[in-house]
Amino acid sequence: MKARLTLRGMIKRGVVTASEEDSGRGIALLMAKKNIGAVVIMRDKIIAGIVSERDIVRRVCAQGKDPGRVKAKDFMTADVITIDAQEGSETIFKTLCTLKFRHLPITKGGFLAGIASQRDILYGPEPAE
Amino acid sequence: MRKQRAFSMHISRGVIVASEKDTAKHLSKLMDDNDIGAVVILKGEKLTGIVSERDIVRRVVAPGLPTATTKAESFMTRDVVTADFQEGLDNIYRTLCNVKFRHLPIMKDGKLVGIASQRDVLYGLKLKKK
Repeated sequence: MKARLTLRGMIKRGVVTASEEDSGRGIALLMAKKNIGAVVIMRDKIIAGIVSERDIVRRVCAQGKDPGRVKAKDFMTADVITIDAQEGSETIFKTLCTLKFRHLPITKGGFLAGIASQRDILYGPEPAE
Repeated sequence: MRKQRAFSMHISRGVIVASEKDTAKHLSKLMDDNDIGAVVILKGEKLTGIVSERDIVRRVVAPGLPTATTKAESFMTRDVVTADFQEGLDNIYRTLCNVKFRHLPIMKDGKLVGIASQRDVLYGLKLKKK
């Protein structure tokens, strides 16, 4: 019998967040420092957007904009798709395959609780200690 | 018996290539125009590197280098892991899980013939489950 995995095992809880006023370069530095590919943009406690490496490359570099000056609010993806922590791994797998995103913020009671990436799904949950 | 799907089904064949002298801005534009996440760098017919979105973000944008003048040769990944055209999907899945790359150039007789991405493989596995 195949064990059923829940999404919770695949979520990274320490989500890295930034503000809408942070620059493209500031966010790139954050990604490098934390070794991640997406940063969730918060306005107070609400998810305002998400910035992926792709957003920086396509909406800043490709357009010839200066990453040091352009602000997250001008190039972030504002239409963020999120998934509730109760969903099963199959739903997230399907969502990540269907949509063109690699990162899905996970919410609990409407608030940001974690993030799941395509790579987390490929690897599966880390073994319990 | 489980039927093994040939890996060749999961390769994107129209690989986008550029030269070592192309700038970060040009490569970003190529990625945007072609809806891709990595560009293979060739010198003549020889594969000399690969540039991913991550390379641009971490090696150009983060250190504050100018995107319009910084050339691929100064920030591309030179140690490129490749896979052979004949390999099975399970092998490529394992390789993509073990290395920290999302794109694997596919070689046939020493020449670049395609590229396989993590997403291609995710799709491939989904097909296989059916």
